[in-house]
Amino acid sequence: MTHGSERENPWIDDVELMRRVRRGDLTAFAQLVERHKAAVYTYLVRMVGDETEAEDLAQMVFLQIFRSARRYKPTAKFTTWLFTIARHLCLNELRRRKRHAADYIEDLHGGPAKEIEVQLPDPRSAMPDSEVLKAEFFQMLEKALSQLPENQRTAIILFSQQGLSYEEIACVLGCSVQATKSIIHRARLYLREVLKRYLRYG
Amino acid sequence: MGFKKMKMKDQIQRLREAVWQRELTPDENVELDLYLQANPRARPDWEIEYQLASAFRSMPPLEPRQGFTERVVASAMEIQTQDTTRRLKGFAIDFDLIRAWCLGFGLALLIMGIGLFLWFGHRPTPGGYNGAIAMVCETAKRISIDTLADYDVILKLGSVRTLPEPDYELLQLLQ
Repeated sequence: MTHGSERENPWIDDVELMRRVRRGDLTAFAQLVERHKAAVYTYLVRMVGDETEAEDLAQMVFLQIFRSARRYKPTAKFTTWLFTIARHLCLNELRRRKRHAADYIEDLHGGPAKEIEVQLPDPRSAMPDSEVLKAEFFQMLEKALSQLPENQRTAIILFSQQGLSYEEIACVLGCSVQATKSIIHRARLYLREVLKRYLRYG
Repeated sequence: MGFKKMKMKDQIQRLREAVWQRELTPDENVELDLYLQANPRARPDWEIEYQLASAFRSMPPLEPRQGFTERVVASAMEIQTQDTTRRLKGFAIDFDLIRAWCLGFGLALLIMGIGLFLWFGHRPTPGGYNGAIAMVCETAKRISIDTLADYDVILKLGSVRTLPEPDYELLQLLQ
């Protein structure tokens, strides 16, 4: 397959790469990781809110893909399968956190981490005003996003930032298309309600 | 009138959903303009939704630390090696099991063979000597006087090895 056609039809290409991974081709696996790492990592950071944990989880996602390559059947889009695995691992992590909530809070508010936080210069100090506002708005958006229930967060991220269709998101969430539409609608309404005071008309 | 309102509601709903995924197409923009001209009070609401959706879509994608792919591939390679070792070990275990089964089966066959040999090769004759006497007595019971007329012939049969020695005393008495 030529490079041009790879760009034209990434779905077929992912499937082909998976076939090669099934045969134990590590180069094909590296290509798959390279292609999807940013999407998976971004999704996971927005889900767990911690870059280090998100990176560990992303690594686990790809290794799970590698281990399950023999069982992979190209009946659905590769990204649907990828995000299904990512979501399951993410849910496990969120459940683990819930169980060890006390330890986690201790970690978050521990001494050394706070010290580092204080010592770091504010990256926004060198930005122009509009950029500062934008960065602040993004922070607000991240915060509002983190307050959404897990399924709404997953659905809106996959819909809006990863460009998955309702059908694909329904597959990832394991519910009907109608229920997915409703979940996304509720997420949109919540974000709008929380952030509308920061948005201007005109 | 109600139908038209419903159609317009569906229309704006569809455009709202679309704007969360991508920029509107020129046709959709025309559709939107027409809708907003007909419903000017919906404009602020639309503007807020549009700004929020655009901001959400344009949230910068994040990249993992340098060398992420290499680290993942290295771990995958380890998994592959472990799998190969496990598979080889599994083969060895399977082979041992097959060998054990073969050995067991062979032993069972040997025992069965010995048993069969003993049963058919050295089976004792039913009754031995006592049996032979009983057989003669049984035969004697069936012998009629006419048969005894052929005593000489029967006497000659005495040379046949399979029969016991004739009882001369008895035969004389019978005669």
